[in-house]
Amino acid sequence: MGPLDDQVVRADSLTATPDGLDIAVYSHWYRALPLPSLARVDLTVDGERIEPSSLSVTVNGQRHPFAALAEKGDEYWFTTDPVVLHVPVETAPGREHRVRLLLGLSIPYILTGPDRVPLVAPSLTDKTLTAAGA
Amino acid sequence: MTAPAHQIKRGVSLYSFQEEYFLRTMSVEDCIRVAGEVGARGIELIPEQMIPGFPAVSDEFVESWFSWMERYGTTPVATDLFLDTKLHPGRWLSQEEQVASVCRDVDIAVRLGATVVRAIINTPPEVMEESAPYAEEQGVRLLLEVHAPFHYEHPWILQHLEVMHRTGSPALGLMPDMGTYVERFPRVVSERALRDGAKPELVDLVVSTYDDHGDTHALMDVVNYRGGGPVDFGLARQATHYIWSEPKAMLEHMPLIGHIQAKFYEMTEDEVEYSIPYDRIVPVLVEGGFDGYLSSEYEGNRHIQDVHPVDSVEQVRRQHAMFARLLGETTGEDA
Repeated sequence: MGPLDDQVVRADSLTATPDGLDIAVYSHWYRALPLPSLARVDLTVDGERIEPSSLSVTVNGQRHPFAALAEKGDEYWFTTDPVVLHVPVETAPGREHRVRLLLGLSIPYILTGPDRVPLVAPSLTDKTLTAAGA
Repeated sequence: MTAPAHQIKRGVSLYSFQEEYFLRTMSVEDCIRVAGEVGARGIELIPEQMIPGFPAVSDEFVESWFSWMERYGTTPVATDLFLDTKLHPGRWLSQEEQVASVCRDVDIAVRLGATVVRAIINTPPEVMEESAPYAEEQGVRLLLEVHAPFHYEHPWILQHLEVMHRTGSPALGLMPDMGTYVERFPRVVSERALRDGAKPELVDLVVSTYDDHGDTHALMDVVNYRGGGPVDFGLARQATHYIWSEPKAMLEHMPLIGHIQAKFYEMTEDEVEYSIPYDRIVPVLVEGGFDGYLSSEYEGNRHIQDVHPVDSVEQVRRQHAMFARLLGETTGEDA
């Protein structure tokens, strides 16, 4: 499906926790994808670039370092379930954050070019949202 | 009412409602209810799309599934399998893993009561051959989707046909996607390109080349020579992904054809498809004695969602009104 960008990060996606900012992210692809498909997470919060290696991600109730998702080919991110990005930035309930996210989903059955590289389906979000309390 | 001179049945792939499902305005049950309301009796499902917890299928889901079928007068017909050959970064699925993936999806079809499984176009012929005995044992047919830009003379399809004819397996066959019969360029696609900033003269070039059934392969180059940007280039590439071919080509393969994916991009208010001439396709299916399901597959949403809310339900309703007309159903209404 074409990106429904405004649904990837929603009005209620931000939560302030003692560890930082949680961002609930929804898929923009029409079917569940294996976790390695969460290939590209270019995230900026309040203008500060967040290194993917500093992120952890909760999927299906389990928390993983971002890099570990590449090894989880047997587990799927369902169409209507969010994943939660745990972002190490300081926040508090009620605080506003500008979130810019380029999400690139690697599609494991659509291969392009002579090197058979999976298609990366992008979606761009740029929103200023208020964090709720945990 | 006269008895129809054919055994063609109407169905809906719930993929058609992807927009509403994604936006959570329709549940799986809603999708099935709507299919029943437009007179479709067969249900096709993408397990990865609509079964929470995929690849596990819970008893609770299965119980609900069959209760919905009963409630809305529908029957499970088909599931669609994918072959995620790049499931793991850095390596390709082995043939053994590919066969295991197909067999897993056959098991899902069986749990859902479907007897047809759509094998995605990238499924290799050797994987079909090796999976066929298991599918046959489970009472399921694995049907290769013949999806644009492929056609019956393409080497990839010929390799599949060779396997089907050599093995004679009753579990193998074809599932033509009607996106192979795009006679004129879908205007929802060209209009979207214009909204996205494509140059009108390049859009005209792409559309007129396609509609004249000219050579679309050089379009990407020409668009570049004419100073086109990414949107123009994307439209030109799109023109090479649609194809028009003669629907009568299905006749020769009819014994292998078990299901039709009735792709569509835009049903107009007059209840005709703008690009795909179903009035010339359905008679071919009747002539060939096709006795499976014409299963709606709406795919126009992605081209119009930027300007107005998508109404997949109305689009599917119109397609079924057209099918009812073309199939000679004489009730005059949808259901």
